[in-house]
Amino acid sequence: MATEEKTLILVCQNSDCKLKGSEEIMVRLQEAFADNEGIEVCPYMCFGTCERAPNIVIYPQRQWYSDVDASDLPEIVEALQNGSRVERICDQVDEGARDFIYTLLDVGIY
Amino acid sequence: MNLLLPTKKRNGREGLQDYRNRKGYEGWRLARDQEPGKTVQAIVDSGLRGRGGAAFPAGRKWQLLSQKATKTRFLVVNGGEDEPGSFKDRYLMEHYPHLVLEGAFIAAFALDVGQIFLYVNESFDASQRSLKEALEELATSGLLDGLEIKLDFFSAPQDYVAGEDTAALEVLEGKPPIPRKKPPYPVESGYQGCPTVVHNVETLANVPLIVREGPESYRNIGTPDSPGTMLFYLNEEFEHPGVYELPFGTPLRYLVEVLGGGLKGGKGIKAILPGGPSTAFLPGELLDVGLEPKALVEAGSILGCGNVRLIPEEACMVEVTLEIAEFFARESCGKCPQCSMETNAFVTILKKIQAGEGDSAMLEQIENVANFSRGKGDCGLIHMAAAPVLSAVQHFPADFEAHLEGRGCP
Repeated sequence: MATEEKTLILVCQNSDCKLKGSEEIMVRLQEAFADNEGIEVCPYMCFGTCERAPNIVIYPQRQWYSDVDASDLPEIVEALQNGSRVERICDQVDEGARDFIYTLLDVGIY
Repeated sequence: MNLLLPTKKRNGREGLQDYRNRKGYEGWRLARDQEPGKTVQAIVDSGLRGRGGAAFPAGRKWQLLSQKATKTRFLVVNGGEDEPGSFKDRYLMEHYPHLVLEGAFIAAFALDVGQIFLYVNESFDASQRSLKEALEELATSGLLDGLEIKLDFFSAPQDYVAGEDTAALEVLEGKPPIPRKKPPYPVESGYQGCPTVVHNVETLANVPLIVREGPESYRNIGTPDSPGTMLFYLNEEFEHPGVYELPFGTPLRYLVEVLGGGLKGGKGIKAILPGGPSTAFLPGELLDVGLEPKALVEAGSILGCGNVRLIPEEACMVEVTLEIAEFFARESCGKCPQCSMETNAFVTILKKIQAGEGDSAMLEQIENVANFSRGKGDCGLIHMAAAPVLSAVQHFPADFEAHLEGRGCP
């Protein structure tokens, strides 16, 4: 497990995600959780699902948000605080790709 | 044994008269006087393989193009040479431009090509100048009289992928160097959708000799699977760096020890990178492997473009491999998601190992990343990036273990 105590919000910062606003998304999430020591918002190298950019993965909860728009962020933040998920944009990408990335995260590759 | 280059190396450009004194443009004269099909068959029979890295049979490309009904056809002379440390194409263009041009004109005439593109790396000023001067000589020589083949220069970007054949086509069409999905291959649908042959500079430099001396003579040199010679480049880490021409099958030891004089300072050899950063490492003791595509594959690597690098014994393979992984992550064009993920994942994993933050489970993920990416992507970069990383882990586990155990470089 990458971390026992913290929730990681990994925001892809590769080219396609950046082109579609992932830098702003990461900044806004960092602001939203600035006072929450249990949540860390980090850049991620690339999830390999660029066709559904921007991508965000919440770990260890294993929530994969794709095609994220800045307008989705309040819902994502609220869901995370409530221990739920935003179903309409969650786990829309290929299951094999998701499992593969979770395997990397399990051994600390992020 | 030299087939392409004169035995005595020269510093400047070989002029037209010097080239003709060594039978230059005799192949061109023969090709113009004979049925184009005979020239195509000579290249097929010669067994000439591409020298850009893939070693694809050149005659196969010629046959496929000849069978096309479309009469608008193109030839691209690929002088992009973006492989880091590779120098042979630049050497040919700078010093022996007529050899390259004769090969290009023979190919264009035999294949009924209407336009040749000289696609030369934008940073190779001397190569561009040399080719232009050679063309000026040709223009007044009478050798091209009556020829209706257009020839255009094109500057190739310095991006690594710009040397890939379909990326070159994109550049020629005024677009960024992003590889196309294959098939269709360029001989089917190349420049502006027309049949196009893309050949590496060195490949074309072999054509005059084959036409002039005949394919049987050409096959007497080299190996049955890879006839002829190839140019190899040894970098400044060798006692005697430079470009060397050798028959295929020559032991690597002869190149690096006899010609290259070994590594400077008499350093021992830890690893061999036989054909540039996109090839798999071999253990340093495999110096007797033959310089030939099949032999290198059997040994666990590939011949690539003949850019031989030796890793000295004191080097740490984690450091060397990370440097290569960072290069591929930087040069991945970003078109294919799996390539972006793979190249970045290799860098992340290797950096963590380098910092002593990883464990054996993390090391195992290198193979998983490569397996997940295998067969995906539109060009070969995704495969190229994996070869050095996988082979480094396979052949030099002690270096990785040292870092994982917090001992740093061995």
